[in-house]
Amino acid sequence: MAIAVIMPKAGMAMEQGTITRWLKKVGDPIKKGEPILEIETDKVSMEVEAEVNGSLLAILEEAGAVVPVIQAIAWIGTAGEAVPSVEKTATAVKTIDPVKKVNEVNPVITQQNPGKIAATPAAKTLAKEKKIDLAKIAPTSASGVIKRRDVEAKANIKVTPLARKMALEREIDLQSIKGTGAGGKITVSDIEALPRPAKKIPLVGMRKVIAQRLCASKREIPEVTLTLSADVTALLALRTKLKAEGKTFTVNDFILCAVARALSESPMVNATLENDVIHSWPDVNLGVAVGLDNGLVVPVLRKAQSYTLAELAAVAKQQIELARNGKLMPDDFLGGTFTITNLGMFGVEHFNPIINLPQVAILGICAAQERLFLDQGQVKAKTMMPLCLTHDHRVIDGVCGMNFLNRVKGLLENPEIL
Amino acid sequence: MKTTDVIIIGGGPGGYVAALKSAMLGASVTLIERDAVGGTCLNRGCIPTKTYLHNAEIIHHIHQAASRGILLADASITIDLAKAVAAKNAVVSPLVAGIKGLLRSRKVALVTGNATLIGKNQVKVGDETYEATKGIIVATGSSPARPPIKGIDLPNVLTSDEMLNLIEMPKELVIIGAGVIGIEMAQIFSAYNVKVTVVEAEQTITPFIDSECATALRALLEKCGITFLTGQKVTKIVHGKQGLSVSLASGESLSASHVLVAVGRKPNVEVLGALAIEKERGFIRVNAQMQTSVPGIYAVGDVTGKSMLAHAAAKMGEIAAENIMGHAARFDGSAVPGCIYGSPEVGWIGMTEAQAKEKYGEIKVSRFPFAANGRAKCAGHADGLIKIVSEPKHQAILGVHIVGPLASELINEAAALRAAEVTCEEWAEMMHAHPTHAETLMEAAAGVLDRCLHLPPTKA
Repeated sequence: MAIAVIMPKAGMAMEQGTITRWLKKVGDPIKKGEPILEIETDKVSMEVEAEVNGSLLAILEEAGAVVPVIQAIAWIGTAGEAVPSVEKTATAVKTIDPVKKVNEVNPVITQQNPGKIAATPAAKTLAKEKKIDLAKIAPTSASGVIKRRDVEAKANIKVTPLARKMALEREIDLQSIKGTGAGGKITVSDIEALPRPAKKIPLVGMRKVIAQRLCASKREIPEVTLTLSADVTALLALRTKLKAEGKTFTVNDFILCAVARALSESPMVNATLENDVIHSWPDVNLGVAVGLDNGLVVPVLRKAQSYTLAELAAVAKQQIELARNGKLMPDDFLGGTFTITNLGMFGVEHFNPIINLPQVAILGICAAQERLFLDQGQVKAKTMMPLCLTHDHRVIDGVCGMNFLNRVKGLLENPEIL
Repeated sequence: MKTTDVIIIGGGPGGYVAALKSAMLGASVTLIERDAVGGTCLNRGCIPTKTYLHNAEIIHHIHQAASRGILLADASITIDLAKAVAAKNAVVSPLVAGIKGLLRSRKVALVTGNATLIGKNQVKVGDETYEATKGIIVATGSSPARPPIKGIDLPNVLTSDEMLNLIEMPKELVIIGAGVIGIEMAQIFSAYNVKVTVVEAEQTITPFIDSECATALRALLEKCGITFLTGQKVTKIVHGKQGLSVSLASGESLSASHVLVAVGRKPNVEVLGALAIEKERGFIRVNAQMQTSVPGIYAVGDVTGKSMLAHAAAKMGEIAAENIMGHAARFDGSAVPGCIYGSPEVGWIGMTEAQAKEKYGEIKVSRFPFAANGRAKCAGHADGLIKIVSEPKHQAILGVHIVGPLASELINEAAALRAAEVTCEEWAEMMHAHPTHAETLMEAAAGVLDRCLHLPPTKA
């Protein structure tokens, strides 16, 4: 009697496989255990071995075909034997919408249209009674039809009640587990020994937007990151002096002011690139990246070049606070011409920020650290702060980028002119 | 030198079970015991106290008799303590003989004497040296601790060891420590009509059990006439004209004819001799396989401090024997049921309500009172409750706590089902014979699912 070769279910998550290559032709003699074709899933490629001796009678699915698991793909039998005329059996393949899948809060085994799965009536009845998903049962018969005994094997797995509940909750196929309890019974410790499932968080809302925008940026922009360090010793001294006078500024306030000034002098950096047109903006609309617990937002400080240090500091403080409290309006994020991202407070020493499309450059600020240097043979200390400028080489060449960066550095090193 | 596969030092429930198990698995075994096999449990602990607690129960029954229409011609009770001790010994002796018989049946060589480890595979007893080729199991148990209190060594200041052979009836008994031993002794002597006061340093009695159960237990024992002074430390004991006087940190003092010191037990580690074995708070440190820090030397029972209960020691003994004989076994401390005997009894397994809340956050607690149980009413002991601690996700049995009649028997059903990983859903479905005390368990399990039929619906 001819025996069907089926697309094997090589893992719990496997729904379908691709036939990459047939190793045997129709008519070839087949030995049990001999590889007869190669398949691949989204994870692995593997050989499928013959389960019986005989001759390859028919190939039902050619190389390249994507076939649901447990569907018959070939027949092995006695040479010359007629191929049984069984229609393509299992159509158990499910297309899974990833978002919908992860949103399942309380997964329960659902009946997968039992009419569409080849199973005997007895198997269907038992499966319904025992609340077993027919789609999760691999038939053992050559025909690929699920029989009552296949359902029984699934229903009669030895498992403790608590372990069964835990497996259901964690979407673990009990058939895939070897029990270590008495007589091979699956216990809680067997379930707990398995790798724990990841917590699934759908990529929606702000995260989805972040993902899309950053991917687009990385995909489209030939980016270059330039790094140099500014000596902020004088700036810190000035800050201390102003504080003594009752005027409190953050280091970030000085940076915003310096960058706004430098941008107003660098038309190719204070620019956006849209539809093959470079827009060089007369106003500096300075974006400031603000990290939140569950994401990142970039409020925009409009006409930043028109403010004094004190004014800019006040505006920045207000916008950043609103951003942290989620109180900004959508318009507050629009129209940025350049972005600053400051990781200095976290001790970061270097990074390659990703440009916020359609802008053409972004400045990353790193941690200011004391460094020793030689001044006429004397060891002295100064505080250096690395600045990382990522720019879009389509718009900004190295020299242009370098000039801008050096201007920022110059302003920070001579803070009194701010 | 005498050589066997396994040497076991100590013939208590940990040691003799380890000996039987090793022999069952094919080992030649030497068991060294300095006193009587059966250890503290059989000679100075579980069995003697349960014998006396049964006496207490008989007295309770006599007190109840009249109310049930059984009229005694002379209802006065006199206790002959010497006879009670003899009756206790009549229980203990055949059990000791029984263990000896079991050891003989498995050809375990029983050696009497004090053992000292003289290397990782040799033990000295007197002039004789014994060698083990496969492993040594230290099962030396523990002894009652005497805290450094002034007057702790005065006459009539006793530990449980001496208390169990007391033939002179105390007039007033002060018990220091409201742990298992203190509570059981209090019940025995209270039934003998002795004025009993229990002093406990902690704020509650039996602080290791579920706090709701501890509160219920205290109320029931106080009803029997036992006085508890909690959050009180004993500062000194002095001998006065009227007998002993026990001073408390509060300034109060209690008169007593006898004082029972029941503040805990200390491990018997003299056997280690000069051998360096890692210890923890004085107890021998072991892993779940019962291995000590010295390869080939195992320790089980009280001396490990893991769980100072006879049944835990016996299980550890089996595990050590299995591991020595090439099997792979581990001790699960969370599966040890605990009991306090008397009227009422206390039984517990798994997590207390507070522990479960800390680990799981959201938990479900179901209670069922013995007052709603027919059989308990028949027997006239319907005080107390059963309490199941579960979690809402799988209705797993996290802990079961019982204060009431037969708690020590009932807890075994809970322990067995918990070990079998049954959830409250199945438990509630399991038919229980009627009328029995165990129906309370089924009802409480149904209560976890808000399906208890023998209680009115819980208010939302």
